[in-house]
Amino acid sequence: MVAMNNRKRASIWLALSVFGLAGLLVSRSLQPDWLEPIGMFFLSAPILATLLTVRLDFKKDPATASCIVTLVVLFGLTWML
Amino acid sequence: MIYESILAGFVAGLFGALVGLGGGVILVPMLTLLFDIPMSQAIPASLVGVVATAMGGTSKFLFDGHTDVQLAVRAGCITAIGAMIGARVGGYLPDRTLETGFALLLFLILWRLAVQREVEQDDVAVTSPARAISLFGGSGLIAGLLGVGGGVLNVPALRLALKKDMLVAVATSTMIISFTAGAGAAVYASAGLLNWSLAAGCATGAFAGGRLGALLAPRVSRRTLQRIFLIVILYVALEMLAHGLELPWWR
Repeated sequence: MVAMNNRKRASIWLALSVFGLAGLLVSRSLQPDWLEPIGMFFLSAPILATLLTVRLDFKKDPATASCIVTLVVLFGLTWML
Repeated sequence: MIYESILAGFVAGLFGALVGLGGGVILVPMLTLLFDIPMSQAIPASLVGVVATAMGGTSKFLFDGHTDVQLAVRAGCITAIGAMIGARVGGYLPDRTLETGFALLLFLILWRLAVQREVEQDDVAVTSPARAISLFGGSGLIAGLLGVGGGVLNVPALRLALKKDMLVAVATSTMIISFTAGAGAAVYASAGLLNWSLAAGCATGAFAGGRLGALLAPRVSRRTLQRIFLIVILYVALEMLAHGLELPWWR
């Protein structure tokens, strides 16, 4: 199920969190209008990190793949509704 | 307010990492009792701070290879649904009710910390997926409602119901919390109840504090810290209960 080694997975999680936080701080001081979209990106970062580091395989592991899709749909619906 | 929120986040992240709890348990009382921020604003901001600490922690645990990613994703799906329901309900509840609920959660954490040794030695529990699912659901509900990570229920679910090692349970719970807190905060944000400016400060401080706490944790006496933490949490729980119930002796 896991598509890459521990170091790469950890780096992706760390990079997304630091990138999101930096975006929040910069937009807070320079572009307050961007706070909400960047904040939304930051809240979705765990899902994004999972999608980037885990291989979706509905044949071998349907339960986990379905859970990831469910999480993506739930987040998407929350933003849209 | 940015400096106060960064400070609150930093202290919460630091002590959370040192005593092994999510930052929300410390962050929400700091924002409400020290900086007079209403519960309705402190809870969503705390959830954003919890996402920051959980992502940093997950990165560390993934690097060390302790996280059960498959289990974290499955459990995270359950806790995220719970958190969304909790956040939706929390948006309608008055601050006093939330404060009383938070005080009760702190008493639960006190009890958990006090009996932790016995729980860790519990060897009679058999694997029980149904029990784990209900604990994960409850964890998400509490997290979304009160602005915490829900580790207080995640770890027992992983340890006792799924019989995972302590380190794997903590690592997996941290990844689960990132989904839970993100889902809860997303609901508050979509309802327009999230103060992004406050949340940005909390998240930055919590992330920095959590990283520092993780570095310092092996060098400080965990037992002494937990004793201090127990006293502080007891005081905070009584203060929040008195505030929530509007007892006459509350200042």
